[in-house]
Amino acid sequence: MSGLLELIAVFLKISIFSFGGGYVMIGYMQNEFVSRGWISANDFANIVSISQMTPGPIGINAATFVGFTTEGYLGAVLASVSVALIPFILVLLVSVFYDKYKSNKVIQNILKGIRPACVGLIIIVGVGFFETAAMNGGGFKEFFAGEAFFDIKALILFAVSFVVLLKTKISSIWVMLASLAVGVFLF
Amino acid sequence: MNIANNKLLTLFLVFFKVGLFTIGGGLAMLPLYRQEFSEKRDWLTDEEMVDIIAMTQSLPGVMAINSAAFVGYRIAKVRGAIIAALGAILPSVIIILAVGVVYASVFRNEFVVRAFRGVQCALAAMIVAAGIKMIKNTIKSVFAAVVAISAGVWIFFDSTAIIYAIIAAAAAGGIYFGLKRKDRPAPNNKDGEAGA
Repeated sequence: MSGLLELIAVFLKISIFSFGGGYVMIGYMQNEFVSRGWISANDFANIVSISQMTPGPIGINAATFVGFTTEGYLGAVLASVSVALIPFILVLLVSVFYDKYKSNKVIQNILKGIRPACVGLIIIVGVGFFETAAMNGGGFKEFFAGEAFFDIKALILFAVSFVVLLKTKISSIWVMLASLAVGVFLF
Repeated sequence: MNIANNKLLTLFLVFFKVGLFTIGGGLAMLPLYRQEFSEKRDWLTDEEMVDIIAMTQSLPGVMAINSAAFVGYRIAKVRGAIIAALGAILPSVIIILAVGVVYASVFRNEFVVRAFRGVQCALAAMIVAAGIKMIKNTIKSVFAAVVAISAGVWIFFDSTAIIYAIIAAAAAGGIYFGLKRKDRPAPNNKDGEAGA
């Protein structure tokens, strides 16, 4: 990675499009840092897991962690500030003109397009982590080419976690802590 | 210490607490917000609380930081906003730096690696489930379904297209709803929130 300036630029760019909050931000980071080979898919999945399980918003935690991994202490501080900067300025501008903003039809129409796209995006981000966690030799594309295959134990743990999260009110932090313990014995 | 500084210190500490207790984040934090901003202090009315939610969901960014900017500005203008936002960011920086420093050595331990293979499964489940839970509030029209599926398929086949997919969705929303008759109430006028 060619330094702090590029790190700052990437996080500024990510932040502009981070409608829908933390998970959407995670999707951009996955694309920017994993797809380009700056962080391995496995390390990135661990970084996001830790970001979810530690105090602090997951988007800021992950930005700090990615910044630290790629550029050390300064990278950590600059990444977390960069990812917050543009939304921060937008909030200040909008809170001054809030009533005009709230009733602006064009903005509301644009948001009606962005919101459903965020849902599709978040599900695909989850599918990406599924490929890292529960598939060997690649992802679904490789699976259909006959090159990748499922890890049955991981598949079961995924399925159980998924059903618990979708069907019960048990908080995701407990599901993650439980799977942390299960993982030691299962794998 | 004079009163102005006292106010800024309080802002900083309250948002430090918000940052610290935002685990995962988003709307789950609302009870804490209500407690800190409207019950303990007269910083926000209920109406402003609703405005914060609406605004954080219609602007990019993380709810903890966006609400810090909003509340900080109300209390002490731009200085207040900066202090509050720094307060909200600081817990992340401190905690993640502490974890980051030991990450490389801890992940040489095979137990840790196995434990995290388990967590990765739960993480994938959590994010897919979060997306699926959002469908109910967000996908209420054929238009929304088409946009969600198109964006998902596009990103699945080309992960570098995320930003283009969002821009295309923004354009689609602007054009589709812009062309729609205003006098006929659209079934998707109440499209819900996408915040997480």
